[in-house]
Amino acid sequence: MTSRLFNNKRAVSPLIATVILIAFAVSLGAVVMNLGSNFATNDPLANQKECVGMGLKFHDLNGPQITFSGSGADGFVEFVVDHVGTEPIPKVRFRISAAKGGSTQTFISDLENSAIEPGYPLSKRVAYNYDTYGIPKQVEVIPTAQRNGKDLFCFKNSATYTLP
Amino acid sequence: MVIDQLVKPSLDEKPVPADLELPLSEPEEKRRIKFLTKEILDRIGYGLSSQQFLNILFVQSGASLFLVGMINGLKVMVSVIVSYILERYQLSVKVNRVLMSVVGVFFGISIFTLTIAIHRKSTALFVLSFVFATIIAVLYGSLYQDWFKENLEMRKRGFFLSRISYYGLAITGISMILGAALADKFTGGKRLAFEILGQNLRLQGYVIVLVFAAMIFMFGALLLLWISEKNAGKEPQKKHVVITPETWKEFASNKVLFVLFVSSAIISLVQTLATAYYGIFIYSNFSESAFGGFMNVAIIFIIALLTSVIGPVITQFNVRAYGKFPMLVFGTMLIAIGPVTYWYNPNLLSISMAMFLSTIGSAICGVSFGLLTLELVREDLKESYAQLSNVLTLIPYMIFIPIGAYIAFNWGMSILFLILSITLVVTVVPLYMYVIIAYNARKQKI
Repeated sequence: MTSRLFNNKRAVSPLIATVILIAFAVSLGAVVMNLGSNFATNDPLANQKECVGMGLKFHDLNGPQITFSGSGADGFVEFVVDHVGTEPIPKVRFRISAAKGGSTQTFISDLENSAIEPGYPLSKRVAYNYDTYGIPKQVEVIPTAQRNGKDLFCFKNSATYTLP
Repeated sequence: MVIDQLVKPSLDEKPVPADLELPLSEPEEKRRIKFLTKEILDRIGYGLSSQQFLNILFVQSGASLFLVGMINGLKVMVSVIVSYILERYQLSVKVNRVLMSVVGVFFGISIFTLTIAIHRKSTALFVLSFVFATIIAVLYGSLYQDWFKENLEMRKRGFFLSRISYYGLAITGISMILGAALADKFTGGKRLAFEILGQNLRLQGYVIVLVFAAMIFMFGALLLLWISEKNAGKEPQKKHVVITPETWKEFASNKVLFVLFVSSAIISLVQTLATAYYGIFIYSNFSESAFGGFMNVAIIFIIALLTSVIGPVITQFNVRAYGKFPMLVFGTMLIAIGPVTYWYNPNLLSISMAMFLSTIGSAICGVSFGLLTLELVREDLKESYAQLSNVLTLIPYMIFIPIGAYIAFNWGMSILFLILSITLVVTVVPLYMYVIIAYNARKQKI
C-alpha cells in the first residue's frame, strides 16, 4: 500500500490537481499580500494606502516658493508646490500654524480646483487674515485622498515649510 | 537580451563534470581567462545599466509614465523583429572578432548616449538611443553566443566559465547594489565633484554609474580583439528559420496550440507592462524608507534575479507530479500575485515576497510552455513555430501596450497593477481550465 502510494507519480486527475494548486496559490497570495501590514498598526499614518504615490514639495527656485503679502485682514499667501509622486491628487488642504499672543492658531483652507497630476505644479493665492491668526510659523500643503467617500489627509506626503 | 537583467541560465548547454574536461595548454588557458574576463565585464555592465534604473532615470528626466510603458513595449517588439531577421538571414553574415568588437563598442556608445539623454533631459535622444541600444543588444548577444560556442568548446571552458550563467547572476546582483549605492550617495544637491583637464565637473551618481557601464561594455568588446580565433571568417553552419505555410496550418488546426499562444501572449504582455513600472513604483514610494531610493529597487530585483535560478528546478520536479496544464494555471496565479500586492498592500516586505513568487510563477510557466511545445509541435516545425508565435505576439503588443501605458499615465500605476492581475486571473486561468476539461473529456471518450 505504502509503496503504491509513493511510486504512483500521477495520483490525482489534472482537474483536481488544478483545483488544489489554485487553492494553494490563493492562500499563498493572501499570506504574501498581508505581509508587513501589521508592522505599522500603531501608526495610523503608515496605514494610509490611499496616500501611496502622492507627494508634494514646495517648488524650489532659490528657496521654497512661498510669499506672504498684504497686512491685517487683507493678507494673502502665495505658493507653488510640485507633485513629485506618481498618483493623481484630487485636492489639497492648506494649513498655516501661526503664533498670536503666546498661543498657537491654526488656519485651514480646503482649496478649490486643486487637483494635481503627477509631475505638474500647483500655484495658488490664499487669503489670510493676520489679525485673526497672527504671524505664520509653519505652512503645510496636504494631499487629500478619499476613503469610503470621506476625505483622508495624507500628512506624511505633505509639503511642509517652517519659517525661520 | 543584453539590457534585460533577468537573464535566465541556458539549459541546453550543461556544464561537463570536472573529470571530463580537456587539459589546456598555456596559450589555451590564457585564451580561456580572456573569455572569462569578457563575460564578467558584461555581467557587471548589465548590473550597472539595469533596465529598472533606466526607467527611473527616464521618468526623472521628464518622461511621462505613458512614454515609459511605450518604450518598454517597443523594446520587446524591436527585439523580436531583430532576432527574427537574424535567424532568417544569418547565413550571409561572416562573424569574426573584429565585427563582434565593433558591435560591442557601438553598444557601449549607445549606453553613453542614453546617459547624455538623461543628463540633458532630452526625451527624443533617450528614445532613439534606447531603440538603438536594443537593436545592438540583440545583435551583439546573438552573434557573440554563436561565436563563443564555435571558438571555445564546452569541455575547455573550466568550472567558472561553464557555469557563468549562474555565477553571472551574482556578479550582476553585486554590481546592481554598487551602482545603486553610488546613485543614492550622489543625488540632488550632493554631487561628485572632480577636475578633468582643468574643467571642474559636478556629476550626479547615476551619470558616473552609466558612464562606467558604457566603458565596461566597450572594454569587454575590445578585449575580443586579443582572443585568437578558430576558423576566422568561417561562415556559420546555421540553417534558415522560415515560417512556412505548413507551420501556419499546424498552428491554425491545433486548438491547444492556439490557446497556449493566446495565454502566453497575455502573460508576456502583463509581465512587460508590470516590469516597466515596478522599479518606478518602488523608487517613488519608498525612497525615504529602508535602504533608500535606488538601493530598495536593487535589493528587490536581486531577489527576483536569484529566484530565477531556482524557479526552473522547482518546476521540473512538480511538472512530473501534477502535470503540465495544472502547473501552468499555478504559475499564472503566482505571476498574478506580483502586481496585485503592489496595489493592495505596498510595503517592501510584501513586495519582495510577491516578486519572489512572481518570478517562480514565470519560471513555472516558461518550463511548462517549453515542455508542452515539445509535445505538441512536430520536430521539424519547432523552430519555425517558435518564430511564428514570436512574430504573432507583436499584434497584441501593438494594441495593448499603448492601452496599458495610458492607464498608468491617466489613472496611476496602482490601478494598472490591479487590472493586470485581474486580466491574468480572468482570461488566462479559464483558458487553461477549458483545455484541461476538453482533454479529460477526450480521454474519457477513448
